[in-house]
Amino acid sequence: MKKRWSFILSCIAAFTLMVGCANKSESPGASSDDGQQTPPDPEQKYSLTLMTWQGSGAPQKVWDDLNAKFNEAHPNITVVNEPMDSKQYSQVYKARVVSGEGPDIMSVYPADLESFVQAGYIAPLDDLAALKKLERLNLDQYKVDGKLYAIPLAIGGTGILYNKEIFSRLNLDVPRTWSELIEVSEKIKENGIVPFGMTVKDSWFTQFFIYPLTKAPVQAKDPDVYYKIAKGEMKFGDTAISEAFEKFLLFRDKGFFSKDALGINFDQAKAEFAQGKSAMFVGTDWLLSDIRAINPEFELGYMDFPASDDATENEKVGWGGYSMSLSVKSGKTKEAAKQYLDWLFTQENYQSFVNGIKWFPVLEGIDVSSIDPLANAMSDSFVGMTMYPSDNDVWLSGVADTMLKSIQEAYLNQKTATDIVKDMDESNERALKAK
Amino acid sequence: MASKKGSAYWFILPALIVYVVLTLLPSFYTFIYSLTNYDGILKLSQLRFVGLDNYIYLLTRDKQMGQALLNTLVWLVFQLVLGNGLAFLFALLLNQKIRGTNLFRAVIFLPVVISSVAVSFVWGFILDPQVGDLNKFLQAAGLGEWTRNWLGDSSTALISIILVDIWKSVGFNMVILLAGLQTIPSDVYEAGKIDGAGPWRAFTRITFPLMIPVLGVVTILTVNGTLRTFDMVYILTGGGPGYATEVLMTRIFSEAFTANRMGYASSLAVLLFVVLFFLAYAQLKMTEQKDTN
Repeated sequence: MKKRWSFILSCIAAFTLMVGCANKSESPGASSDDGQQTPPDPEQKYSLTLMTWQGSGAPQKVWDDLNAKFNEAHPNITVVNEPMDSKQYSQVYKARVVSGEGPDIMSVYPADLESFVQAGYIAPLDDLAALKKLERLNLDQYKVDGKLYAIPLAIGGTGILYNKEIFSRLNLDVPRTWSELIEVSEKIKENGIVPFGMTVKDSWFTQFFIYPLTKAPVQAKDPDVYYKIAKGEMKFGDTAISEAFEKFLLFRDKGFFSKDALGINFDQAKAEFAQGKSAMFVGTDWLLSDIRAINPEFELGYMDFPASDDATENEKVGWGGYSMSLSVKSGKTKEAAKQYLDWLFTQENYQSFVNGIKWFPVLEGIDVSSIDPLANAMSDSFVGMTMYPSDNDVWLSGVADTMLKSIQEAYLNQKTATDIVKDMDESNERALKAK
Repeated sequence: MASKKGSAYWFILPALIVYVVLTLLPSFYTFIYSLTNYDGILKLSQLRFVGLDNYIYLLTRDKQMGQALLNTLVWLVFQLVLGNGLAFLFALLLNQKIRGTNLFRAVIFLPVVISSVAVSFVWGFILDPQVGDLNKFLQAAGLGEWTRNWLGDSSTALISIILVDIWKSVGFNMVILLAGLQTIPSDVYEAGKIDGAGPWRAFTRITFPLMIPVLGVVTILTVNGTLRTFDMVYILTGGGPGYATEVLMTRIFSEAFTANRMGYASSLAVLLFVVLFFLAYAQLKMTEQKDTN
């Protein structure tokens, strides 16, 4: 019996050794992706998966149509979009990629980009033909060690969407300063309508109210501030970011947000606005298609976010930047995937893409008028505006998550604006230590 | 005869291999990761060994984890006292020889077989502050001031989820306790009646003492299940508002997949494993004892 046991144990040991070795001998990663371009073999069939955090809901059909068109032009390559709820995307895609089941084309979150590159999961894109059309853009945020690993699909800014019918019925002018915004909200509230639709339960959505408020006091004063914080050279407490939280909490104090904002989710807040029960809502391009899907006859207006009492500053400084990027998995499918990207960025295909998905183009020479009735108003407001990117693009892992949790606690009156900033600094410390 | 025994080992080998590869090996890796700064993405060779730093931070500085631990303990107390108390009560009632006990048993047990994800979604709708049935019912019954933002108010969120969990699991514990009650031979009660024991003394002197082993099993199962609660919290509140409904498993998930602190999350998983291991060991010992009894 002893002999049997030792035989079995040695079998198990051999097996686990095999499994362990199999893992190690996997793609050695970045070293094999030296950016050399070998076009995909036209004889070989490729089946690629595409996964993004905007792949389900209204955009799903856009991707499917796009992929069908691509397949007509390149019969040997099939690209299939895998829809996934954006809330789960950030957690699921990492697990998929790490286990080797990752999609061939995917959108990578800024906080994960460097690790993905270090582990060799995504390929450099410096030889893409499409890049020649994006030369005027600063793509540093997608570069690691000087090589580019993601290509932005759209550019967008954030303002405020408002219900034109409510505004004209209550004789309200579009507010151009923060104080005017408060006044307008007071009047709307007196008339029994929710001034500003918001969900704090789906805390990620509060970012769309907070980030417009950090542009002038934080990023405009020092565009590199978040890079410095991510390196540990500065703290959040050294900046004026608490002002943004103060303003957010002021809105809550005055009862301007949706009732029970902590209990309703994003879909409910969106429906509340689309059905005319709230007067204002976060204004971004990707919300347009969702809202118009709920209420196609909605008279929507767009205004710049009046973040301060300086009306000119509100027009000149804003939150905007690249909204979603695409990266390509390293390995056998990368050349076929790159071909997809180059195809997507030709004028004709890109035009039909933004028309369908209703995002603003990164390419020049694209007609925005067919994107949405509001598109011209939105892109006009971007003209002459210095746009600063999403704050959390550069923050270390965990900081944004801590901020959102602390915002919920502050909404419950358990914390103050300065507490939120303290929590963010603590989280930043932890992330720095873990590097 | 020796060869018969030997060939038996060959039959269990496939299952053993699956167990080693899918359970032992990942557990071992988790332990290794807990000693590093693993972010969930980098390869093993690219990680930095941090020794016991993760454990030290976990046990001394993590306030959110402390809140999660507190919430889990509150959950445990409610499940053990209210949940198991109700289960025992139902079991006692259904042990009576009256008609309809099979129907009641099925009805009370039904939530156990519904997927907890489905249960969470449905209860999420019921508890919705604006369109949910609970608030609508309270208003219709003239109890308008009792309406609450059940899942959005930090004073009611945790207890609301706990009650949903009790609703879902009471049938399971009831069935086990009922089985235990039915193994008590009726002549013990008859002997008690002859000695003049009323229903209360019958319960305290006969039923309860004889049910202690079964109660022990139910207790351990309850503790085990409660420590592992995840989906209900994740779907109903995501751990919020703030950290009001965070439990141990949701913290592990957050740390591992949202904050990219897989190494840290692994250390919590290892500690939890140790606790659950001892619980399982205790349960094993208890059931062995019961058998020998």
